[in-house]
Amino acid sequence: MAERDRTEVSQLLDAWRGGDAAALERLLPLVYDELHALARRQMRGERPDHTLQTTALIHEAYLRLCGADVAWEGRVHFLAVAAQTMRRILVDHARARSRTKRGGGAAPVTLDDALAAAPDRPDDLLALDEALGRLSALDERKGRAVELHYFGGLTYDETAAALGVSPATIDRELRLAKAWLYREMRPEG
Amino acid sequence: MAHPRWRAIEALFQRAADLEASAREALLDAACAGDRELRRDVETLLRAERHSGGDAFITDAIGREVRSLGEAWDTSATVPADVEPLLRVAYEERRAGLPAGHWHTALSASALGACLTALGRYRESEPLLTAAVHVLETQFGTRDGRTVQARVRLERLYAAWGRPADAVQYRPRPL
Repeated sequence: MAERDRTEVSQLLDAWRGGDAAALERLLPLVYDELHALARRQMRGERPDHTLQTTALIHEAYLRLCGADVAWEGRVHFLAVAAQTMRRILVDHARARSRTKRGGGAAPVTLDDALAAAPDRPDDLLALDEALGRLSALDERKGRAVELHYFGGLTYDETAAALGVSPATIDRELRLAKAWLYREMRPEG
Repeated sequence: MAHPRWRAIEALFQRAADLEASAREALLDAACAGDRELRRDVETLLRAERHSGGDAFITDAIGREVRSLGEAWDTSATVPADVEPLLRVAYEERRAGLPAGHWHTALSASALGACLTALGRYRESEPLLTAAVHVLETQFGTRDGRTVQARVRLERLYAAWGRPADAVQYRPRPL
């Protein structure tokens, strides 16, 4: 998203917050573009065809954000809520898949079936979400940094701005947060 | 505010993380003298960092779920190409037997349109999906799942057809 659009998002959020209903009409297309940019970054490193699959996440996030009763405090606040929303969408989806697997889904009947089913692992995301919840209870800022950077697709600079610290601090804090999460999710024997 | 114990772990982890093995041992010996729990905490975190292979365990878990969500969404937005004859019969029967603008006919038009998109027959798909969106929006509003599905199908038609400016119109609307 261009710098001009970023500024416009902030201005329109301010105008909307100030009671300018017409600002919403101009804001929504920019919000959609903003979500696209976030989702693209969230899937960084993926093959190009996978970026198409972020469309579902964008649609869901857009619908939830547009319906949210939030007093927007500017673009950074919007990005933080978007990250939280994307996390919730993915966790809700993983929970639904997990229920289907355990309750309604047919059990694999052959080795091939079991291998084919291996990549379908909603529990990984649920384990990450639970570990992240524990990290936030221990150190709220690190939990939010993980949510903003990984679930929201924010850069280090944006994450730092959202949390009011320097990018170097975010770099250090994410380093420890990742180690802590990995230890929680894969305890040593 | 984080617990002081956590702050101690964090400070030592940050100091030790980039040191060579021998220097790291010396630091831990000095900093954790008499505090075996602190040493164990920091050592397990340092090992976790080494074994984690970066952040792939996070990005992979998120990426898999994003793809799964996308696949679930695709399922509702696309229709297999080989069912066209059945969908056409259903659509024609409803169109002939129901009042004009009936939502049952609109649902059939939506499904047939998605199927024709999958077949690359965009010119035939467009009027079906456009009409379906109009009827479903009028009857059920923009939030209804049937309307959203038809709009998504129309957006995908225009995207596949190379008409992004038209696709934009069918993005989800504000609630």
